[in-house]
Amino acid sequence: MARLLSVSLPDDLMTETEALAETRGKTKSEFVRDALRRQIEEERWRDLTRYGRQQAEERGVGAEDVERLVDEVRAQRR
Amino acid sequence: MLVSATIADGPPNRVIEEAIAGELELVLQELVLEELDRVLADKLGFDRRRRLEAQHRARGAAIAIRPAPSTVAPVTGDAADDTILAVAVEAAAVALVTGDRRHLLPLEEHRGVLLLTPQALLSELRAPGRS
Repeated sequence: MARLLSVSLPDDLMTETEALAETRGKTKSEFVRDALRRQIEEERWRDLTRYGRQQAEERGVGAEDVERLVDEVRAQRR
Repeated sequence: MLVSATIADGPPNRVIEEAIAGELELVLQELVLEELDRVLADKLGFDRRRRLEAQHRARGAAIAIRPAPSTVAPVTGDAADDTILAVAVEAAAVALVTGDRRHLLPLEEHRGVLLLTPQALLSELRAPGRS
């Protein structure tokens, strides 16, 4: 189900939106939907990595330990 | 690389952000997603909701998820890395991005697939002349 969201844009943002949507062969609605979807993905990813950093910090794990951790889970599978 | 991206700031995380932004086309494989889940669960204590979230986000950042091929040639000295490499070859990937310095990165190139660190990939993306 699609629901309508009315958003007001300043002139410069509307002009950029229209120009880029046309360049990309999209309608303004499609262009804004895609941009919003991407923004949500980015925000969700950041939330997840914030949690991940916290978990790693609590366990004293850093990026330098990742290869060892992967080796360990692979060894458990064998 | 996916595990690093999930727990630390730095190039692996930026690679995923570039994929989300549509600046590169990320192909993932089931084996890597499975290993991600096991490391997050067993080694980093991610709760179930966050593990599902990690799977969902990683899959969402990718344009394709590939299964392991039926036959895998021994190349790297590690069976799991051989599978990862075989999938990259089968997908005709430009590059396999990895932090594995023992089995994968030393190859540098394999059957048309470049083996790159996340940092090297980001440098390529920002190289002058790239559209």
